[in-house]
Amino acid sequence: MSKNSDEKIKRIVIVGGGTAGWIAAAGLSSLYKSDDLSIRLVESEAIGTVGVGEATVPHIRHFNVKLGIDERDFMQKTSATFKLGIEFCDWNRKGQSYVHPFGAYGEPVGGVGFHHHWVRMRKRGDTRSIDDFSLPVKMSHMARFMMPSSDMRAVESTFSYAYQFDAGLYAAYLRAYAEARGVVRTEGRITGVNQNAETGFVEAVVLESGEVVEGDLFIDASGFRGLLIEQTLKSGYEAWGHWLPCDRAWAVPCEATAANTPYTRATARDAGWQWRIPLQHRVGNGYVFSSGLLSEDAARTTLMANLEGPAQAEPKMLSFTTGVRKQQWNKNVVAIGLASGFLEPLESTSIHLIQLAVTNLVEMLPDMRFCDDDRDEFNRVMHLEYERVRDFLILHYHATERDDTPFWDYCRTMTIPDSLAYKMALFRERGVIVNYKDGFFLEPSWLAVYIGQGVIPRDYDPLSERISDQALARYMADYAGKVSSAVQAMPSHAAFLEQYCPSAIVSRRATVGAV
Amino acid sequence: MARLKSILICGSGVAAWFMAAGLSRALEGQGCRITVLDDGATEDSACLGRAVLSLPALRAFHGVLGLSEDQMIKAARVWPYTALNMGTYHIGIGDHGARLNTVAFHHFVTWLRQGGHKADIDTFSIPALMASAGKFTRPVNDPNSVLSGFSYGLVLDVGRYSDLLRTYAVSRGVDVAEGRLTKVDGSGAQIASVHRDQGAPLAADFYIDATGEPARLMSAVEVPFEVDLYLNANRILPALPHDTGVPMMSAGCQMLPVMGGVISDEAATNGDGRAFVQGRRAQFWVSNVVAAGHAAGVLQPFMGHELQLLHTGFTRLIGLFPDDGMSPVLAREYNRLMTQTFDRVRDFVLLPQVLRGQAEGPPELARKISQFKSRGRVVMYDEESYSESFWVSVLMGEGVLPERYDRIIDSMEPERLTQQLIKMRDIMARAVSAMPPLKAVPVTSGVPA
Repeated sequence: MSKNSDEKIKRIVIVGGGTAGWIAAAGLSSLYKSDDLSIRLVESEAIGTVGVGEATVPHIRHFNVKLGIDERDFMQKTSATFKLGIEFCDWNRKGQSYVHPFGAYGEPVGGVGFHHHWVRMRKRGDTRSIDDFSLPVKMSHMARFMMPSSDMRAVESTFSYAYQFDAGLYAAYLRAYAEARGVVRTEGRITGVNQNAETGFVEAVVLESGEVVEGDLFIDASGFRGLLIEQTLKSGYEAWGHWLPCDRAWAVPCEATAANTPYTRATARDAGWQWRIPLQHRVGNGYVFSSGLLSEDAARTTLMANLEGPAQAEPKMLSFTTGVRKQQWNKNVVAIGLASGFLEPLESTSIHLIQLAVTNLVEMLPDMRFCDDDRDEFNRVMHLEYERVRDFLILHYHATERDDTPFWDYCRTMTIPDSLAYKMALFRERGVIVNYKDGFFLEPSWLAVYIGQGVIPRDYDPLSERISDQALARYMADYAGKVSSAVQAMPSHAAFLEQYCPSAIVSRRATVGAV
Repeated sequence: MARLKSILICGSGVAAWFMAAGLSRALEGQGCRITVLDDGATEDSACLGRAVLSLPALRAFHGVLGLSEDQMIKAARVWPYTALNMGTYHIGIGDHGARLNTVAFHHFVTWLRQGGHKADIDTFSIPALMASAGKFTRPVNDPNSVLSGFSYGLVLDVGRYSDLLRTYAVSRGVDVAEGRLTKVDGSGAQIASVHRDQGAPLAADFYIDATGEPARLMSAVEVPFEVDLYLNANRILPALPHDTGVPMMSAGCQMLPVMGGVISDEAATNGDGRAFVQGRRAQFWVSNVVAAGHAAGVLQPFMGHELQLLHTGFTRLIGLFPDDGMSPVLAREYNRLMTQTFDRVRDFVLLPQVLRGQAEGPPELARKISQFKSRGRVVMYDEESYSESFWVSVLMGEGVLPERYDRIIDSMEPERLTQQLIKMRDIMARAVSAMPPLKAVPVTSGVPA
C-alpha cells in the first residue's frame, strides 16, 4: 500500500507577493506546519503590486476566521470600513440607482419566495420598492451599521457584511501572519526558470542575484503576465472581451470629504464605469473602460474630474484582457490571482477567487506523482466558478435601457452566453432564479441586479395566491416597518467604526496633527 | 395567462396518490380541481419492491401534509431505520465522526489505517452503530451532542402507503373518476383528453402521468424512454424473508422490516418475476404533462430513491408551477434539474456494482471513484440527492481505501490525535449502548412495536 509519507511534496514556492501571494502564503501556513511543508515566497519590491483599494465579499470573513484573525485588529491595521453591498448608479438608465446588498429581501411566505409576493402586489398597483424589504439596502441608504444579530428570527440577522480596505495593507498584514508561521520571504527579481528537460515541470526559479530557488509545487501569483503559467508553460487564455469589453483601468486614491459609506459605488460612465471604495483614511477610485471606444487620456480626464476630494497620487493605468487561463493548474504550477484570469472588480470578486483557489488547492493538494486527476479536478471547479461570475457580470452590462453611447448600445444588443440567456429568460417568465451547488452569487444577488436593472418578471409563482391580499399586505407592511425601525436604532457607520476599529493610519495622523 | 383550473392524474399506486396528496395540500384554496383516473395497473407505479425505504427528507413532506408518524404506523406498517445493512458494512444516515481542523473525518480513518491501526469507519458512525446493535432513539437538536449528527428514515409497506395517501387525498377533495383509462388523445405535442371505459372523455388544463412503466401519456406525446446503459437488473420477485430488525441489502435482494414482519424482494437479471427496464424519459415535462414515478424513470431498489425522486419532482413542480400558458421555459428548467437529479441518483445505485466490478459507470461516477481512491475527495455535483456521507460509506464499505489522506493531518500531533480518535469512538459506542433497543422503542408516543 502506498502511503502519504512516500510521495509528499515538501517545498512550495510562491512566485509574487501582493495580495494573491500573501493570501496563499497565509492560508497554507495556517494549515501546514513548516517542518512538514516548507513555503517560500519570492517577490521583488521593484515590481509594484496592483492593489489600490479593495472591496470584498462576505466570504472573506470565513477565510479570516479560519486563519484565526482578530477582526478589530485586522480592520484597524488595514484602515478598513464595513461593506453592506454595492450601489450601482446609472446602469439601467441615467439617474437611476440601486444597491446590490449582502442579504435577502423579505423572507419566504407560505413556502413562496418573497419576491414573488412583491411582484404580485406590484401588479396590483403597489408602488413600493423592493428595497423597503431589505435591511442592508436601508442601512446603506442611511449609512448605518451594526453587527448582524445571531438570533435568526430577528430582522437584524438578515444581512451579512464584507470589508473595504487597503489591499497593500492587507497583504502586509497577511505577510506578518505568514512569516510568523514560518513562511520564508526572499527578495529578488526572477530572471530565469529551470524546467525539467523531459517533463517540462518547473524545478526552480533563478533570481537576479544568481540564487536558485527550488520547489516541488509552484504557485504563480506574478500577476497579469503569468510568469510561470503563461510565459513558461504557455497554458493559454480564454478571452471574454466580446462580452466584457473593458480592457483598461485608471486608478487613483483621493481624500475623503464625507463620512464613510458602508458600501462600494459603481457608477456607469460613457465607456465603462467608475468605482468608489471608501476606506477610513481615503477613498479609492478608478475608471474601468474600453480603450476601443475611449482614449486613455479622455478616460483619465473623466476620472480626475469625478473625484470627491483632492487626488493623493498620480493615477496609474492598468491594461488587461478579461478572461481565464485555459489551465489554471498546469504541470506543477498553480496560478492564482491575476495570473489565473481577470474579471473586472465590478462585483469585488478578485480576493474571493484567490481565496477559493487556495481552498481548492488545499483540497486537491498534489503529491510528487502529480496525478492528472488532481489537476483536472482543480481546473474543472475553478473554471466553473470563473464562468459563473462572468455571467453575473455580463448581466450588469446587458440588462440596460441605455443607448446613449456606442459602448452601452453594444452591451445592450450583444449576444450573451447561452447560460446567461437561459437564466434571464427564466427570471423574466416567472421570477425563477437558477441555483447551482458551485458558483458564488446566490439568489438575492441575482434578484438585486435583475430588478435593479429593470428585468421584472412577467408573472409570479401562482402559489403566492394561497395568501390572501389582505394578509399579504399586512405582512409586507409589518416587515417594512421592522426594517425601518431596526435601521433607526442603529448607530452611523462612521460612529461604529470609531468605537470598534479606528484606523491605525487615521489615528496616527491625528496624533501628528495635534503635535 | 390564467391559473390552472384542473389537473388530471392518470394512474394508481404510490406515484398517483403521492402527487394527488401533495397537490391537494399545495393547491389548497386555489380553486383547482384535482382528479385521479385509474389506469387499472396491478403493479405499483413508483416502487418495484413491496416495501420501500424513505430518506429523512420525506418526513418533511409528511409534515407538510399533516400526517403524523402515529397515523402512518397504524396505516402503513412504518418502521424506522438509521442505516442500511449491506452485509459487511452499513450505510448510515448521518455523519462519520467529526471534522477536525477542517478535515473531513474519513481522512482520519485512512490515516489510522496507514499507521497500521485497525479502523472501521462504521465504528465512527452513530447510525451504523445503532443499526448493528439494534438500537433506536431520535436525534437531538443540540449541535454539540453526539446524538445530533444522524437522522432516520422510514420503511414503508408500499400497498399500504399508497392507500394512506389515497385516503388523505380523497378526504381533501380529490375526485376519483369513474372507470379506467383506455386511450390517450395527444394532439400535436400535448394531451387533449383521455378516454375511459365508462363515461365521457376527460380533459384538464394539466396532466400527470403516473401510469408506471407504460407511461401512457408521455408515450402519447412521444417522449422517448432512454434505457440506462449501465444498470442491468430487469426482474424483481418476492424472496424469502430473513428475520431482521434493520433493512438489509445483499446481492440485489432487499429485506425490509416493517411493523410485524419482513418484506423481501430480489432484483435479478432475466428469469421469473416482474419485468422492468431501467432508465428514464428523455424529458420529464412536455407541454401540459409531467411524469411521476416509473413513468419518469425506473431504477432498481437501493436506498430510498423511489420516494426521493417523487418528492424532488413534486417539489420542483411546485417551484415551477405552470399556468395555462404552459411556458416551455419552466418545463425546460424542470427537465434540466430532474435529468441531473435522476442521473446522480442512478450513479449512487450503480456505485456498489461498479466497485464490485459488475458494471461500468459513466464519466461522472468514474471521476468520483478515482478522486476518492486517489485522495479521499468526494466530488459532489449539482443536484445530488445523497450527501457526502452516503458516498463515503459505500466507497469505504466496498473496500476502497484512499491512497492519501488530507495532508493537513500531518501537521497535527499524532499521539494526541490517536487518543482523540479513540476517545471519539468510545463516546459513540457508549452513547449507542445507552440507547433503548429498537424493538422496545415506541415509534411515537404510546405505540410499541
